[in-house]
Amino acid sequence: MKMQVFALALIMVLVLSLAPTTTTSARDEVTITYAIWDNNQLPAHEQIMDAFMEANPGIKVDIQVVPWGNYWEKLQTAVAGGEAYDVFWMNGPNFPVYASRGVLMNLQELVDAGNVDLSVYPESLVNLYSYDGSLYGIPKDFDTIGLYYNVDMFDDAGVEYPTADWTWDDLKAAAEKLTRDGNWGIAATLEDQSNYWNLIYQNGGQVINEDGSAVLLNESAACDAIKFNYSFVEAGYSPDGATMSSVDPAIQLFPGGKVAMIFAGSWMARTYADAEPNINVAPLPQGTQRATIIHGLANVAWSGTKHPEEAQALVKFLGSEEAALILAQSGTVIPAYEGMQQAWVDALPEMNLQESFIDALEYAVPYPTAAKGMEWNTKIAEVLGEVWAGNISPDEMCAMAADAANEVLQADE
Amino acid sequence: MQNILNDPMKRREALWGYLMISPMVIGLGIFFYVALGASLGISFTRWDLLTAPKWVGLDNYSYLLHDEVFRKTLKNTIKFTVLNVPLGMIVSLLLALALNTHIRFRNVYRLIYFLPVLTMPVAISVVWKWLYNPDFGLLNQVLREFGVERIRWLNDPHYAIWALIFMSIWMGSGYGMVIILAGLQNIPREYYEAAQMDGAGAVNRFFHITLPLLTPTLFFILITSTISSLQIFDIVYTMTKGGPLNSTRTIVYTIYDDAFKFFRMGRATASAWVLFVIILGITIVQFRTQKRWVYYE
Repeated sequence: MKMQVFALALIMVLVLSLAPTTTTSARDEVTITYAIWDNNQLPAHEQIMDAFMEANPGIKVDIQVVPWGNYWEKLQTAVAGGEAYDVFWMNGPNFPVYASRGVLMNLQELVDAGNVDLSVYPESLVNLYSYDGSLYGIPKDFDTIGLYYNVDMFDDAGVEYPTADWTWDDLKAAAEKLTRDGNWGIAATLEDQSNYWNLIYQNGGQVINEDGSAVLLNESAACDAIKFNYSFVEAGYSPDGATMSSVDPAIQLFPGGKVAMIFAGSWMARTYADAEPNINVAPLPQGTQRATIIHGLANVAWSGTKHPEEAQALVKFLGSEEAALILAQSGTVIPAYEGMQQAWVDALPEMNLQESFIDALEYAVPYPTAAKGMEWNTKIAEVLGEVWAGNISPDEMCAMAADAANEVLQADE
Repeated sequence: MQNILNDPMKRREALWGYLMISPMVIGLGIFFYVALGASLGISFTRWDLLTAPKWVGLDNYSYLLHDEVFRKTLKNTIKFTVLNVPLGMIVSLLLALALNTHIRFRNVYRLIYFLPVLTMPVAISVVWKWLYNPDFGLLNQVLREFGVERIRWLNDPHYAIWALIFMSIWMGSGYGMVIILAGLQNIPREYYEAAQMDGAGAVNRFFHITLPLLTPTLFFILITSTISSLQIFDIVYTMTKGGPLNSTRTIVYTIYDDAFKFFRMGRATASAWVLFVIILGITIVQFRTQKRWVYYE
């Protein structure tokens, strides 16, 4: 009998140890989680959290870096499991998906109570994170696209550095001259936001219609822009899709000195400043007009959080001038907060950031979004990816890409 | 059997037995059978994880039945399995036979061939992606010496699945090798001695003693590697993402895409059930036909 009692007790202990342990923190301290995806911004955010925790004793913030590659699947499964992050990053294309399904906390109260002043953020970003007349995300940063170039490779080839006056023809001519010694002049990538979308608007085209219900890649202005991008691959001035799909052009080829020019976002400035080759940046070349895509992230709170007040306090703090200044000084991204851009520009004085990214606001085009998440865009990427890899002829690519995307947009979910 | 309940001694023993296996049974019940049942239920719904699931009956299954890409996916998965399993088994067998002889540094070789099994598939994929790179890859650099033109291993629909199969055999043959080695050690010496006395040569000894007595081992490898080949996912995800032109898109990769990229849990679980039925069917056939070629001592 004694044995049985002992054995039962042992089993109970085993079973209990399998049960999830609930952390009971001392002194009523509340721990909330904050999910971000960019490791480069972790140091700045750790600083911001220190400032927040000092100003709000009793709240502890646990930053979780979830890599971009599986951020959205992790977020979605966490929401389904009822264990999402209390505060997390949101981007433009995903915002309508989450806002319309009630996942995000409505922050309009904060605005109405005068706790958040929206006038300090660019209007296009406030609109991007509003749904049904309410604010659901507080703009965190913004980004535009520029033309980064490897100064050493330009010097070696005797090509003059890109300027704000460059046109598409100048870009093409420079790419040709810089393609030498087994290196390429440019990486004509298939990144939408940081590459060919810019070309489409520069050529007077549109990616998607006003209400986000139909893709317009098949119209001639848009299609010519995509063909212009492809012409670099065709001429051999850019690595093709087979090469770029196994070696990342923005992370490996360009900073590794294999490619002389690349279109990339302002968020890459810090990385390129730290890279081995001497890299600088210029505004994007102009087509029939100037254009650069503007996009920005927002901080949002989860509607199902167990600590709504603390989550709101954190979102509010993340949108503050104090947080923006720390972010700006890290040189990683341009804070959305008005007047903070100068601190970001000053953080990397060796690069032409003011002209390339801040002055570009004058002709910036909002990031095109559809009401239905990102699958349409994946379909376009699939078609163009096959063209870039040489498996589909470029003649029909615009129609094929548009059809594949529109099929998704028109399907009833 | 019926008097178990009447015999207090036996009853206590049975009770103890159940008590001892209960943690395992409860764990398996909750995390396997309940999940299995739930997935069948989900496969009749449309569910994006964020809002409540909607009942759609057999819609998901009829979609799969009519979807061209899914049919191609099935074909790719079968093609991968049909090539990967026998080729992998042959390589494993040859390795095991070679390393069962008394060559120098035998254990070092065994370790070397087993190492890929212990390495993370993602890490292996990163290295192989470089090997296969059309411009900087070692493979094309060697081939260039022989005048072969640039091959886009992972981006040409003619080569991509072969590139994955080759890599998969490299990754997995060490595992088969170790199991076959164990099988070889189990074959009694005396059989070989007797055969040798009767004048059987090495070839005859292999085909009439080694191979028949290895069949239970080979059968085990056949079953397990067929199942794992039908479930191939990791190398597709890391190497090709299902491309080029869907030539390496497999069922589990499609399940991942549907479930975690496009948030169609219903369609994803329906595909999973289709795969389950296929695996079950193939395994049953394999077990039924084993009598014809598997010899147990």
